[in-house]
Amino acid sequence: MHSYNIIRNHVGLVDLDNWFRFEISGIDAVEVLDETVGCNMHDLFEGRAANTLIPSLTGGVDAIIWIIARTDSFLVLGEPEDQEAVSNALEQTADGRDIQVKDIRKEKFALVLTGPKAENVAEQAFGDEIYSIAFLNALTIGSSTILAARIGFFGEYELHLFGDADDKEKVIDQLKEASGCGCELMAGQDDCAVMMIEMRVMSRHRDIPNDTSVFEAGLHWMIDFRKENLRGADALAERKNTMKQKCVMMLVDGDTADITDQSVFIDDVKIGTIHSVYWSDSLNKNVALAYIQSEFGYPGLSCTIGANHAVAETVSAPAFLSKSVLNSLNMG
Amino acid sequence: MSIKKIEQARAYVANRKELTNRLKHVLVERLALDREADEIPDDCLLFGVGLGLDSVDALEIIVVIESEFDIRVEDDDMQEIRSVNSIVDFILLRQNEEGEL
Repeated sequence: MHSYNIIRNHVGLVDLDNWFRFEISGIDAVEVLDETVGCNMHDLFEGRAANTLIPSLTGGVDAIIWIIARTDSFLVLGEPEDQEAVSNALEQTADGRDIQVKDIRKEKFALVLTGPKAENVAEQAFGDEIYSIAFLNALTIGSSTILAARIGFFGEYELHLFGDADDKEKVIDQLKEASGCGCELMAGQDDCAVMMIEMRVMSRHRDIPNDTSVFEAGLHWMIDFRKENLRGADALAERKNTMKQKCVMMLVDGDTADITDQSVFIDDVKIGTIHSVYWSDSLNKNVALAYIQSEFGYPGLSCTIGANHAVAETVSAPAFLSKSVLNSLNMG
Repeated sequence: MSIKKIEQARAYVANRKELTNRLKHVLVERLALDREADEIPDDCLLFGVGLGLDSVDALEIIVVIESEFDIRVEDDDMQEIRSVNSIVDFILLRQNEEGEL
């Protein structure tokens, strides 16, 4: 059973050790983070988490991150390709103030227990305490204490686990035992990209071309525009009113080899460009992200792609409600 | 002479854009969202990651669709309530079906 099927239909444990994670503390940590990220850090109370981005100074996207607020520090988590941009932005903003940014990748493991049956496994492993987790909690498994966070990338139930690196293998074994499904619990990161796109959860480096604005990428929900200290505020205001294109999901029929960077047409009029393409088992089709002229950036349009005229249609995202969401809405 | 697809697309998008904006304004008001209508991307996931709405909000969205757009929402239709765009898809589909009757 490959990772996609494990996570979309059962339960999988994904090792995210390569993702960057910073522990940020200091008297000025809140202010520096508030001047760096899109969300309002003054609304991020202890025990809560926010999915946000770091706007670039030209109104684009420097990094996409999760921030988790702890008692005396913040945990910032993201894809490895965004680590440098996060470090640079924090360094620029800190400007001598009291903030410590500690890379904890080597000392703390990062695992995510995910899938429609993940909550059952979590209950077996940690007890019914897992039902009271709004965003994060400290849990124990065996002799290990773990920080558990309810943050998400794939649209399924996700319990992100952070603990001492020395305890990692022991925790994995205990979760396998709780699952009752042995080695199949482990799922790779290979299919994370398509599962994120199905839910319209974007990766900065895979899905957003350089110089694409926050609005063109459709990520402006991650920003509190009322903040007076919003990074890149002037550029964002300008780019809000000069949107040239919109990121739109497309379903593509037939052979999609080499359609990345190909043009999208209606009749013989070019309306956009394909940026990334993934195969979706749930949809049984190729799902693409295209950047389409704003005028045409809506679902429901029949198009052709490239010289081979592959047939495609712009569609709504997310592509479907995951089994975990249907379960939580009592519709599973 | 037949109307070119590009002109049909322009007409369709104009209608869809108007409906999308109307829906966003109604959702902001009825769900008391702490943001402006134009701060909600068309494809933003409504539940969980994204706007973070819950099952109570889902019920209110059904009421909004039924009362504001005069469309009946059955249990099986809940799958269509994923984002503003998917709700607009659903409204347009039902409006077209009614037009064909």
